[in-house]
Order: sequence, then structure tokens, then C-alpha cells
Amino acid sequence: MEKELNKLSKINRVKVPPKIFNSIVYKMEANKKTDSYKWLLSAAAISLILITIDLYLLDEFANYNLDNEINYEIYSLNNGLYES
Amino acid sequence: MNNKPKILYEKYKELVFNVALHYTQNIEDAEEITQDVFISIFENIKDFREESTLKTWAYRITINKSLDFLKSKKRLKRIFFFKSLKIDDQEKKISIPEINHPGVILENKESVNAIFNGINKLPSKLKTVIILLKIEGRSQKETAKIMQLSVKAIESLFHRAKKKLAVILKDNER
Repeated sequence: MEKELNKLSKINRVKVPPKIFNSIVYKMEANKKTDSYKWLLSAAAISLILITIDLYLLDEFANYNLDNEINYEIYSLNNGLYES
Repeated sequence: MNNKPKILYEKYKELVFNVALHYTQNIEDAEEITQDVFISIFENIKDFREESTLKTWAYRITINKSLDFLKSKKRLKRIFFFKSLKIDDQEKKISIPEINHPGVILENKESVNAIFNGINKLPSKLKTVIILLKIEGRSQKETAKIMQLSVKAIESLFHRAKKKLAVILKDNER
């Protein structure tokens, strides 16, 4: 087995093809673009969620006020506040 | 991009490319792994803590990326195999690249290819031990540092690797 494995030690170092560094730079730039696109998408998603929550709360608040006003009217009627 | 990545690349390109080549035995795959390794190095260099040398770190990243690459390639091969069962023979002939390590000298090509065939069937740790000790010519101490194991563990892994490889090579001869 040792004899067989020693053949592996005779494997020569191979020269690196010159185009690799440019490909790395290109890939990194492409990754950056994808990253900023992803960031933009998540920012848009967060904004949408916030607007939805905001609209929901506004709606709830409006109903709450209206309910209160009706309750006040009923209360006023019941307690004779409109009788002069 | 400033000059630092280029300097790092020039210093370690040969190491990274050749280790990837030992794992894949194919230039195209080694190129792809080299690109991924350097992207990872450039992105994480700021987090590099000098607990190990940059060379050991580069070795580790290359080994991990190579093993990940081979795993995903195996998965793809499996998918391709199941798909090929459904399509006609013409498409079945699309070949999966064979062993073609450009660093192997011609007179040894046949026997070294047979050994690589055996090495490719070994579990990843045993394969790594053989690559680092025998092909890369690292010492047991260096290999232990790269693999984050003790020298004793490396000795025992190498012993197991030799034993298993001998069995595989015998089986392949039959």
C-alpha cells in the first residue's frame, strides 16, 4: 500500500488558470447586487407590514371613537341630560 | 476593490487550486471551488482571529468547500440518474467528468487514476488525511492543525485510510 501511496507524492503542482481572479471579482460584484436587491425587497416588505398595521390601528381607533360617541349619546339620553 | 485581496490571492492561489484539484481531479470543478474559497476568504478576512496561520485557515476553507462541492455534485448525480431513467438513451450518454488530474505524470496515470478511484470512495476524513499527508506532503503535526485533531488521531485516521483503501483497490481489481 505504501508503494501505491508514494505514487501520489509524485503528482506535480498545477499552474492556476489566469482568468480565475477576474471571475472572483465578477462573482463578488454580482453577489453585492443580489444583496442590495434582497435588502431593498426586505425593506419594502417591512414598510408594507408597518403600513398594514398602521391602517388597522387607525381603523380600530376610528371605530373606538365612534363607539364611545354612541355610548355617550345613550348614556346622555338615559340620564336625562337632554331634558331641559 | 483594494490591493489586499490581490496580494492574498497571489499568495494562496496555487495552494487552494491544487488542493481543490486533488479532491475533484478535474480542472473545471477546481476552478469553481477556488473562486468560492477566495470569495469566502475576502469576505471573512476581517473576522480572522490569529489562532492559526492564514495558510492553515486557507487549507481549512478549501477542504470544507471541496467537500461541500462534492456532496452537492453527488446529490445532482442522483437526481440526474433518476431523471435519466425516464428519458431516452441518447440523453443518458451525457457523461459525468472522469478523473483527469493534470498534475499526474503520464507513466503513472493509470495506476494513480485507480488510486483516486479508491480515494473517492473513502469517507471525507480519511480522504482528507491521504490528500494532506501524501499528496500535499504536509507533516502529521501540520495535518493535525489543519484538521483540528490531535497527532494521535491523525495517525489512527491514516492507518484506517490505508486499510480501507487497500480493500477498495482489491475489490476494484476483481
